[in-house]
Amino acid sequence: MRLGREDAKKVMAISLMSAPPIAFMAFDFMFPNITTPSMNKEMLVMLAVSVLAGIPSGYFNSRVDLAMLSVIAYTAIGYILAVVYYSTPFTLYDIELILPGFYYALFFRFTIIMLFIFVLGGFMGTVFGQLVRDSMKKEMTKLTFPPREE
Amino acid sequence: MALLKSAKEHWFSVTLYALFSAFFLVAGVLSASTYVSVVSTQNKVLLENASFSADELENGSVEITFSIDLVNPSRYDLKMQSIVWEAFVTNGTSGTGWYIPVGSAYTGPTSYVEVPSGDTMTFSYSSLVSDPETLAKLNGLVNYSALEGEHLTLETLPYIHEFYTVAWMGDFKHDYLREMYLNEIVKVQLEYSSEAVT
Repeated sequence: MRLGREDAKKVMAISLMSAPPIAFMAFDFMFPNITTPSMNKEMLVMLAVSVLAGIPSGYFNSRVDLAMLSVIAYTAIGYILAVVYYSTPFTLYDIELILPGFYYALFFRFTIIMLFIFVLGGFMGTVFGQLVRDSMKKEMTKLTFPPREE
Repeated sequence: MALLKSAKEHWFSVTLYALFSAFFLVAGVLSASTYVSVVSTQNKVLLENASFSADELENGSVEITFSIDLVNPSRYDLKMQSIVWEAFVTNGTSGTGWYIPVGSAYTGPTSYVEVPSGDTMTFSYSSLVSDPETLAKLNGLVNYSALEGEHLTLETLPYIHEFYTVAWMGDFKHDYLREMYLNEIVKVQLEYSSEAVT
């Protein structure tokens, strides 16, 4: 897989833009009673938002490999952002609470399964995004070069 | 540059994408901020200024009083689930009946006691011990202390006061049956014992 500078920039931009929904969903899955707005652990809603988050990577990337790379990259960055959200009060109030065991017990154990949904939804969104882009291109070509009337 | 050019070409899709991303970023930051407030509430809410006394009345009864402040500097109102006060004396010399209760009170969730945000609420209790059986036990302890050379009175007996309270923060949901950690995170549990102080 060849990755040019412009491609890398595009993947990075998509990763940063699509990471917040992933971070929010992972955090919301952990604490549905204090987040605003909450998805209340509804897996279908989470899959739908994952699909939405994946659409831009398909819409803006014509190459399938780059689109898939974007999905994996934004899921990873989003999950890291969720860990940051989760760590905020402990870094402020009690640093001793940031222990690997504690993270495993509370955060990763609850949210690790989410990654599969985020990636799966992302791939579905990518396919949808590419379909939308292709159909729009077709439509624009038709408008630019209208078929000859006999 | 090519990226900017492409963004300009697809300005409508890019704007929608940016709005979608910003919505979740704001929601995430807000939720993390709520999480910080919730954890800080658990650290900030305190029981303070506990005071207690025992007064012997002319008719030989004893009046036990206790008061304590619940300080709530957090940004959430505290909805009290239960408030328990208990006062007793322990008689180490007797096998059975070593525990002599002299006062107790319980307030449950149906009383709808609420400590508003930034406020302090004082809980005061009083109990009159006039039951002859309990008084006989207390006098027995007083007499025993005299034998031991301590010369305690009904007013100076080592009464132990225990105060225990559970409250919920704000309007957060807290009736989860399986995921108990969600209830724990919005729960404030405080306890005071005069035994630990003296």
